[in-house]
Amino acid sequence: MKFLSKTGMVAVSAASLLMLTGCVSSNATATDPSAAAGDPIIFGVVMAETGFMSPFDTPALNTMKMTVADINAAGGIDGSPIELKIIDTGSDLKRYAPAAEEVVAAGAKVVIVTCDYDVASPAALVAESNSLLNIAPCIGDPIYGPQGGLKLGFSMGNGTPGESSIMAEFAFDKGWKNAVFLTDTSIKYTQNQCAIAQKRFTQLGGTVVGTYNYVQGDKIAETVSQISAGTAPDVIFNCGYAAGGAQVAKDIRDGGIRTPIVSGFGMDGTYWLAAVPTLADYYVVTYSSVAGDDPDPRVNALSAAYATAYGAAPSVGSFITGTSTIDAIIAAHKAAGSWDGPALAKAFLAFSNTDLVVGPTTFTNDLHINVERPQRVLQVIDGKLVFQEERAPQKVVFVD
Amino acid sequence: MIPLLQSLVDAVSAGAIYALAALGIGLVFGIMRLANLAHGEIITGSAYTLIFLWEFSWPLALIASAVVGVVIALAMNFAVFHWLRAQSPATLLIASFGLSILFQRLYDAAFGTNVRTAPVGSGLSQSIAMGGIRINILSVITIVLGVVLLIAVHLFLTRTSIGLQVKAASSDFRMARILGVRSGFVIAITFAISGLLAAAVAFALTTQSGAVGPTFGVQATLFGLVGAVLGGLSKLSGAVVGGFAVGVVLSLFTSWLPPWANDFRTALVYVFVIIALVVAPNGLLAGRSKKDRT
Repeated sequence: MKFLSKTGMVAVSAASLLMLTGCVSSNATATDPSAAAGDPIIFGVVMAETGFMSPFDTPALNTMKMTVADINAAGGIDGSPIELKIIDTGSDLKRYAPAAEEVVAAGAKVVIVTCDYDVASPAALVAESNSLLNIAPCIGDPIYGPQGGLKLGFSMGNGTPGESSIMAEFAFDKGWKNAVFLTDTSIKYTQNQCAIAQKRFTQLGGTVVGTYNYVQGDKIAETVSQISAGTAPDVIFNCGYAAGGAQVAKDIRDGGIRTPIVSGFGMDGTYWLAAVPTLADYYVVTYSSVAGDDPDPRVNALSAAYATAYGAAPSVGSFITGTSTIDAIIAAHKAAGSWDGPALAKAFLAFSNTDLVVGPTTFTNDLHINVERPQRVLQVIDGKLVFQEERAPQKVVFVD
Repeated sequence: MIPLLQSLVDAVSAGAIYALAALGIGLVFGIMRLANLAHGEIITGSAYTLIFLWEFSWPLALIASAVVGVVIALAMNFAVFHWLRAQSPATLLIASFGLSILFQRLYDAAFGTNVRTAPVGSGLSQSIAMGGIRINILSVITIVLGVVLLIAVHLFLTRTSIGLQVKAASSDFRMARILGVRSGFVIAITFAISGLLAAAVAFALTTQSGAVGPTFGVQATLFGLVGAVLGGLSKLSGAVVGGFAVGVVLSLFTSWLPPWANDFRTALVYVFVIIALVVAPNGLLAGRSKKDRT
């Protein structure tokens, strides 16, 4: 199923750039009533524009606004504009269920939720109980779907099993055979990330010479001493997210350890790099490169449009998931011919290597998230994240 | 296995930061009976100043950071605590908690949720190897800074007229007022010094991390406060020793606990503190007399 060609998407984005500024200045909606005569079609958005989830949610949310503006400028859906009813949860877990109930009461046809399963699930469950399709732009945990009791829940994100397998395979292919694993235990995503990467690394023949845990805010001078006193690793896996993960990177380098470090999406973004100005040999596996050097021209065009609309390039590579979320919903609606949740979910399950800007997208009855997409390996060079290679997992392993 | 000496070096480094935080908290508590939970937000304000100005001019950043620390501390006093002086310590504690949350939201609104970064004192955060032991330059500076500031505060309290007034008020606030000590002035001076001490902590922490977010100062304040209670809030030296002890114990737990127990290291530090307080309810180095504030 292919619903927007690459050139078509770029053309639509470019044509509507001028109107973006006006649209993104409005938090509550991204509707252009003049573009379509029908009643607005409401997409409920229960995400974090503030709080600890906002670095991950905001870029995807912004591209959702851009894409909706493009679609509305082109006439909307069958003459009706899309309205994003956005509620900023402030990353507060208690606010997700009431916020979801509010957008449902407002007539939302689908509910779009924040980028972490632990945080998003209360909102997703409200959507499920109202038979509404619920989409997470960039959740990585495969539990978002049937495993988590969400029959109508899908994530447009790259699943942690694929991301973590790529981390391990990239390191092993580099010739790094001995590894230390540093796990931020504050969220399930990073715990699974290191568990899967460790499993895949040992499958490949690598040796684990140390495993250590930390939580956000920890300084790890003691762990650095322990690493220094043990078998010298060829690579360190830092399964964390900024800012805590950045502190870990800094402590490692400040402690005199120059070993290459590999991280996943949690450490994407350049906003933390100034804290470690001499950082080198640091690799990040993520969705895309925001710096204009991504191998997919659609990504570079979207990043440039984002910079025009918001005054700066997106902070993380997952920004593309916002556009893909809207595109996927519309494609499913066209296939289903209605906004009925189960019908839309059935249309989602028909996706098979569907070409979206986030990558080829397939959903199955068991897995409502993609684990086999190719991802980008970026390297920190001179304080910037520079594209190194595109890499799909050779073998996807799951956490035990 | 990690060498014992390396572990001790790491522990002393960790302890020095919390000792500095405890010094600022203990000073205010001595006068106001206020366990100022918003001390962390003074640290955060100074830290943001360092981040924003460091690459422009580091001397200016250091000076401005200290000024901001003092200004925020004084603003907290004049806007809130000044009006609550006659209230109970519990009321003051809750007010400081509210201030802490308020400042975090203000920082969030002003500077965003993402951390702001700059290579503050990046040369100082490097380590040097001596006899197989890795010594972090910043740790040495933090320890020296802590000792110097402790001595400076001690000299201020014992060798200057204003300091003697502060000390008198700290010992018996009611009697000091009767004898003519200007209570408002003394409290303001105390908050100003706590602001300076917060700026010192901000420098150490910002050099360590290079990144500042809205809740930057919370952890140091929490451990500093716990340490100050452990050592005895009624005595400055007790607060400092307590803060140092908490940092040392946390570091030693991190180094030496087996992997299955290491995730519980912070909880175990609190167990250690609880046991210590059961044995010495007023703190390990507390004076015997109970002091009241009016």
